[in-house]
Amino acid sequence: MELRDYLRIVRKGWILITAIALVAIGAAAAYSFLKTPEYSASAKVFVSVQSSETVSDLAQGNTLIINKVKTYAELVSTPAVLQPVIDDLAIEATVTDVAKQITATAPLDTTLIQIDATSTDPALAADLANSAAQNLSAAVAAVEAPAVGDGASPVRITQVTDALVPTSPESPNIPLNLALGALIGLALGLGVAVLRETLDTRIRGEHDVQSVTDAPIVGGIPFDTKAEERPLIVQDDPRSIRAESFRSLRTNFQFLGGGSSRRTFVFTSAVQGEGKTTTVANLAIALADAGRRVVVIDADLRRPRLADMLGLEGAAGLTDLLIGRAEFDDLVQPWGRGNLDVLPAGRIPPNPSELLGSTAMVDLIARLEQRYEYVLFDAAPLLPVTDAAVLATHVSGTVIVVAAGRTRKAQLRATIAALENVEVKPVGLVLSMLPTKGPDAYSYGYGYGDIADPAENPAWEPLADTVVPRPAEPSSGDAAGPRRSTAVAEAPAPSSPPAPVAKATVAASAAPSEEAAPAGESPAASTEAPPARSSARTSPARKSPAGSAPRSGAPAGTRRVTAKPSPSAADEAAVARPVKPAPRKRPIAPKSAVPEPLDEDYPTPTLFDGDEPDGAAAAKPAARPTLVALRSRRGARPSGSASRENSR
Amino acid sequence: MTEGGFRVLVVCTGNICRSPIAEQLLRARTSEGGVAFSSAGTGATPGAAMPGEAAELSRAYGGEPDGHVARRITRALIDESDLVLTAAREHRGAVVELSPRASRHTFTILQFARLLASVDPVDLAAAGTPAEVVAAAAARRGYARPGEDDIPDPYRRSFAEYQVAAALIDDAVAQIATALDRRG
Repeated sequence: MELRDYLRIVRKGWILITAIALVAIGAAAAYSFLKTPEYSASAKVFVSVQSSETVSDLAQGNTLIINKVKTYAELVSTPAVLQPVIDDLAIEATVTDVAKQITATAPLDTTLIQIDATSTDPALAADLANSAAQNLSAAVAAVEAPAVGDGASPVRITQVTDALVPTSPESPNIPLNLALGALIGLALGLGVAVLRETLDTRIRGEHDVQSVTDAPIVGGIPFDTKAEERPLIVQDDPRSIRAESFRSLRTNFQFLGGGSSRRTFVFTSAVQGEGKTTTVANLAIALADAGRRVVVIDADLRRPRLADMLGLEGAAGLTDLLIGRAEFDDLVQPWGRGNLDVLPAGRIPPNPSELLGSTAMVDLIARLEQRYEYVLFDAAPLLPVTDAAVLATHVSGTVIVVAAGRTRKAQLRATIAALENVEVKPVGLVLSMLPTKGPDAYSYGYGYGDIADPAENPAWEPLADTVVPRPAEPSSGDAAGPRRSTAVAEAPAPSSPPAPVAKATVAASAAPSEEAAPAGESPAASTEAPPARSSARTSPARKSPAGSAPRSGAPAGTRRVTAKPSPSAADEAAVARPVKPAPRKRPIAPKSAVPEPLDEDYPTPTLFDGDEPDGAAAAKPAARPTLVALRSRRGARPSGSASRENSR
Repeated sequence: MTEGGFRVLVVCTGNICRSPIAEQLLRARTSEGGVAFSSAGTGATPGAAMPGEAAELSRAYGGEPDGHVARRITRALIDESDLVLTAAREHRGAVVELSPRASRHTFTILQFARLLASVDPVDLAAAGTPAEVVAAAAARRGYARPGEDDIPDPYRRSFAEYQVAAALIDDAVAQIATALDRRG
């Protein structure tokens, strides 16, 4: 684990850690308050040899004492001293009890003995220490008395420090106890948090997904407690952050599937209840809102939910079609304002997998791809049944919906393995039910306070997708990165002829003359490019705003600024992004209508720019590998899109 | 639209309680010669008559129950209708299973009334024909808040249950008749 991981764990488990620390502090406090206070007093005695003889005698005596002083200290805990103490103080205690209360120590290389006494009574503590000191004197005198004669003991013990009645208890030491409690509590809490993290096998967020697969996360859908009541959030509350997350998902979806023109996706998950149907339905509505022709098919032939969610009758549908009982045109149900068609599951068949793998299904997919820009399948979960895997082999992309906090890592691993068995690699993952707070929180959107309502301001919605080219976007230029974008960038309004612009750009960029031609051509070539794209099949409504003045919708307005014919903007941009003179002479791109595929080193940046307002937000999840590249190139992007837009 | 004007088919199980009441109330509340109403049952005994309670309630709400005989639903009946209204979702499913194409204009009675209520009044006013009204309502599916779709079957139950069903039908029919009649 890295330090970052620990920080994440702390962030995630801070409540637990704090709680455990508080409990420990509380325990320490309780212990301190419940414990009877103990007082401690100490007395000191000085040990000397009685000798009035010579200095050498004195020196000898001193050496003797230093050797013996430890023994005298030990004497304190013997009945020889303690019994008289008990008698003197008239306390009811045994020698053993008192021995525990009195300790004597002899500091090294001195002839002092320190006698400490503890007691719950401060006066008694002092008395014990003093009495012990006095009785030690007597006891030593007794044991050291010469065996013969009645001479006094040569050893004399003098009390040098009287024990004083202590004013404050020695224990408990409240601050120390509390500090210890806090420390132990924190350590314990941290340990529990780390343990919990280690034992937690559920996928909580992006972090956990990355540890399982390198498939990109194409969307994050925040959890909504009311998701059951209003699953069609894009419809019900288009301004909510949740609806925004589906629009981000829509944005990312336009780049899934690599260069293929197929836009057929199957949505599955590990187990049921991960939000597949909700995700598919909302994505389909979001795509339809953006002017795409979308068909969404309930391919969960075991527990179909799509028709109910969309408020349609699901009694007849895909199964009727696959067994040849009815025609697609009879079964498909238009939804909403016309761009979205829905094919419910129909009656539940006994053999869903066979139906989904049948040639009728393959034919159906081919036909639908002709007719719709997006074909979305809501499939059954992959771990219990194989339906989704069967379907996955026939579509252009498989998306796994992962419910944060529900799906286990092992389940996701197994799901991916099940797809690998049929040689399908998921094109992306959608994390659903993301928490809205905390370290794993939904972080894919900006949470615009005032997202333009598509109903109020139809301008930006359609525009959103029109300007987004496909990854392998046809472009007139070839590789050499910066130049072309600049040239195309400050493209004129549709009315302006391409020539002057080319000139202006060349002047500003001081590009070699070879540059001029492709630069000038770009707008022209891109005029023809759009029809080659699927977005050409759009409703007229989508096209109208392209060249028009900015509307009130802030994001749209901002974006469209680049599209406005503004010579100064052109210059500015050219200055801001100085054009590197082409180091080599590029072959001039064919001026034919057949555009070349975009250069490899410039693969997907178009993804997130020039797109709808949520484009920037959307960049976050999907762009994992390309995000840096995107940022560095961002400047060039909107303008390129703008010219395309204008050239419409 | 089929020849001879807009046709509405009301469907329930026995074609003796809920659907005839709805049919008769719709007919009573729309101008004559406009929309044509009929009814059928998914499990009807052909020729059966309405129970006394149903006939009584129909009359109480302004319907004309005399002469009604039950008939069983057929695909032909569905295909010649421009709008199919059912008592409950089970009937809606049955209708669509019989004729999948009907899914676009088959609703439960309560659902259709609710959808109509959610249609923008401007759009509703702009709808010139009953078919356009149906299309406008159909486009609201999924938008309108979900609610109770089914009218409970009162057959062989207490008179109170008949009253509940008839009251539900009456409410919904008032709305549906208004929407259809202006264009009938």
